Amino acid sequence: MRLFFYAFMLLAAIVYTYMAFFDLSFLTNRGRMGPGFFPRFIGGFLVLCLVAAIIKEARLGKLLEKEPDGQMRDAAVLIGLAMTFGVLLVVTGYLIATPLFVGAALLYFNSKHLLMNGAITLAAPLTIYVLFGQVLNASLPHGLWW
Amino acid sequence: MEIFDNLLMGLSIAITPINLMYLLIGASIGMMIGAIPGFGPSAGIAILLPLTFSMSPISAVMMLAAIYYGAMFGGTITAILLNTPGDSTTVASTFDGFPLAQRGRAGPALVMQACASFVGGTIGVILITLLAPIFSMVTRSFGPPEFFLLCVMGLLTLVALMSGNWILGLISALIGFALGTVGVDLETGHQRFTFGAVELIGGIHFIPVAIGLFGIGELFYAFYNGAHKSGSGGIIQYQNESRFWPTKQDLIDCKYTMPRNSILGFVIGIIPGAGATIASLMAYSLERSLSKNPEKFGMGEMRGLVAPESANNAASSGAMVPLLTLGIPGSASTAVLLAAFLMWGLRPGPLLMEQNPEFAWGLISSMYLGNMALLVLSVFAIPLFVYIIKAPYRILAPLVLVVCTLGTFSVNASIVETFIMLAAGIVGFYMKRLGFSPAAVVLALVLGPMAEESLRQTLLISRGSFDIFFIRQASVYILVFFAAIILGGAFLNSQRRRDKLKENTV
Amino acid sequence: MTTLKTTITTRPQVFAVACIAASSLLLAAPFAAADEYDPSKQLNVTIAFGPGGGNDVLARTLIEILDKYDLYEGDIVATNRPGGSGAVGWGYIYSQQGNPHHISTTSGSFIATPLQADTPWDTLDFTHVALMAADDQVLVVNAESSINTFEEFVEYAQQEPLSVGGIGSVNNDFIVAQLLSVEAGYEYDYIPFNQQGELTTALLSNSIDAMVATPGSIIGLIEAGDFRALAFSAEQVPEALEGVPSFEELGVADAAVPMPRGLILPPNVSDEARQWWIDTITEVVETPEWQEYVKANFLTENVLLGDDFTGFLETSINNFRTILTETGAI
Repeated sequence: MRLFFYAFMLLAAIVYTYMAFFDLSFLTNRGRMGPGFFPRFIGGFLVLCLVAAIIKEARLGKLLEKEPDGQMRDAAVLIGLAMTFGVLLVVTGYLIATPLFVGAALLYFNSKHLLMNGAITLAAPLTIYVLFGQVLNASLPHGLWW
Repeated sequence: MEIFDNLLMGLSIAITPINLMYLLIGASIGMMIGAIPGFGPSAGIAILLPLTFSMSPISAVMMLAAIYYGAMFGGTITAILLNTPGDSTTVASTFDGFPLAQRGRAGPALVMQACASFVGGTIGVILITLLAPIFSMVTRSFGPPEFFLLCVMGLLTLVALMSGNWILGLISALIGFALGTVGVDLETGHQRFTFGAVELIGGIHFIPVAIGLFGIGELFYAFYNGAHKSGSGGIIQYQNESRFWPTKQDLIDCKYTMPRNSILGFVIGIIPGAGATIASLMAYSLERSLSKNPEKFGMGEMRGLVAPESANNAASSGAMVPLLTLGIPGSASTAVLLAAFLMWGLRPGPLLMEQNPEFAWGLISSMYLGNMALLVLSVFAIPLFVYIIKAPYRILAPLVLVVCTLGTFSVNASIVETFIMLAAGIVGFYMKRLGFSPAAVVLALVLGPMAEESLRQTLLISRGSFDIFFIRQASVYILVFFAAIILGGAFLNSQRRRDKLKENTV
Repeated sequence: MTTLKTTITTRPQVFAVACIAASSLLLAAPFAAADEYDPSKQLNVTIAFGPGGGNDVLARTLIEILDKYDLYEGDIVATNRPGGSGAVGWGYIYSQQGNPHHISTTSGSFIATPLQADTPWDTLDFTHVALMAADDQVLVVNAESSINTFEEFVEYAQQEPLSVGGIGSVNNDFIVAQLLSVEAGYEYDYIPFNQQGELTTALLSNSIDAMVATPGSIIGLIEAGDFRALAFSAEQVPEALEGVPSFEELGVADAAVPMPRGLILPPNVSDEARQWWIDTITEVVETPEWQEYVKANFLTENVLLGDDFTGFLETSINNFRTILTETGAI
């Protein structure tokens, strides 16, 4: 819903502006631009522009417009899975989180080809392990236990 | 001529079987690393730096340099195919690169970007060979005031991005500026908007935000549009894929685009700081303002892809100028190279080219070879990438998401950045749906802090007076150049309008 | 036998090792404190900055030497944990309380970061092993400048405040610049920069009047005659800077605040383990490889073991805190 997104942005902008005005000084003690100089302008303008955009959308009657249901559902499922993946990375590490996420996503979106899904689910963490861990020697999230 | 003697000497050092092997390995690894979202040139060099400890300095630097421009090359592949810039320098390449791929011209787009990268890189090396000492004068005259003016020029290109819906574009840019203020304030050391989190002291980095807003946001948006329901491909169409090679028209359109933006990119790349990012943006807006149909830009115009690509690759050569002639690192990547120089016992500085000519010229000549190697490699690599993207989107998407997430994590081993990326993904999805401009967010995020810091440095130096911009010679030159571009642009615009008017009346 | 695993982040390999010796590793952490130090277990080196930086090079040099001279028996695994000016990496070491098989190298941020940010750890919480070398500073001007000596610099500065550049605002560069002005008695404007490249360029383009920098970062420009060095912070002036007076000779010795290149262990590590590492480092700094490293990076030899290192850190912290409080940064 548009209203939700705009409300979230506006709230964030207000918090930002509040902090810019109350936590950060406008000028330094030498009278130069301080840490709060630009944030105050940025925050102030951001709030103004968001209010203007919300009014404009409201006039067009788009603010409360309902989503076409089917469209949003698949995107929402993917977003939900992605967030779960992020949390799982912290808790279980990539070796467990990756096949869980890939497996679940394929099961939902590609339910007709179970065999292929299984193969990809197993191959994904392995490829990541070899490519990132061995070839690139990059760090990977290891979870809470080791 | 001395330069050619030097170059020949350099080539004789560079062309040994073992060095060529390292060069090829470096170029392929660089290309591969660049193609992984999250891994830019600097991450690539840093990751592979330890491997080079046991090599001779010349082999090592050849390999590292090859990784550097190989990653520049490869970074655009994901920008075009997945709308995911791996580095701030390739943001401008997504503007027209991704629409081209969406319109079924992924093949020609990739080939043209490879050509543009080759031309940009090669013109860059030629300029280094012939004129490095002269160009080092650019570095010698660039202080905070000039840097600020350059940032402002970069920021003006934001206006071009806002042409659609100016209020949403403005909000996007302001969000980017706001994100850019997070972290420790350089001048006073005060923390801004960190909420006490140590991970945020260093600020919000470009990579997680860009990968989230572009790459992940695009994934969610594609699912919203039902791209995963089609049999193959998805976000990108392949019905025209019989046309793998660019058409004659593409080449004719771009015949001036490549050289002029290569030179522009090279000159801006010399300036330590955000050379390649600003260069690619300025190239894009220069090309847009020179075009007869600026409205086509952003809809999949070949020149809109070729311009920033020539510029950012030429800029990566340009960044070698301060490194070789003054020992000054101009970017994160060249800073790692500089650390390597010291480790090999070299003393980077104005005397490097005199004291270690075999090293400096070996490196320069290896860059010619490297650019050629990359062109050849991409002939093999492009069909492979196009082939991968042909997989059904519902299978590809979860895998891309995994690679983006882990790639983001790997850069700094930071789980906080991983969550910033995922959150940016959701925001990017909404931005795309509601007509905001993710490009304006990331560009403001990159350029905003630079502009703020350089302006505040300038005013510290001038003790609060703005006169400094009119006193310093280099600033005045930039201001004049500035004015010329704006006036020229206005003139072209009015000319064009008159032409159109004429056409209409006739 | 020592097998040097790999020299960069290797989680999966840690995993492999962990699987084989899981039980011993798990037991090692809480109970090792009372026992004698066991150098056959895997050693974890945490680098609080990214690859290629000063801290990274130091850690990797140290690992190479430990390996080459068989000073450490077990495997050595190095991990870069950058973020928050060292806050993330040293925070990780802090969380390994009492575990003597974790080590980390230090730099200027080891003192500055906890003062500036609300880190859960404090510089003095850790077990301090040794200061191995110091990164000192040099005050330079552009060679085109009419300032030839430190005395002239002070004279000019007293007539009209000069602008002096450095890296960061809560950092060694600023502390040294500030202390110099206090000791020599002049006014100045400190101009902070983010990266060495921008700072060096600012001086090259005559945007600022002078800068404070580590010699390694600008030695090439000094040798080529683009920059003129006015003063060096340590007593021992490196060969490449011969003829440059030290702060001590100029009567501003108190302005010297060397950046500590040292070694630390997690908090509450047993005295045996600390002593083992002190002995080992004593051997490390004697090796030709170490001498070569100190020379190539223009560091100053400055070895302080155990409590002397702690004392050194205390002095530095006091210096930092006094100045940063005065200038309002913290």
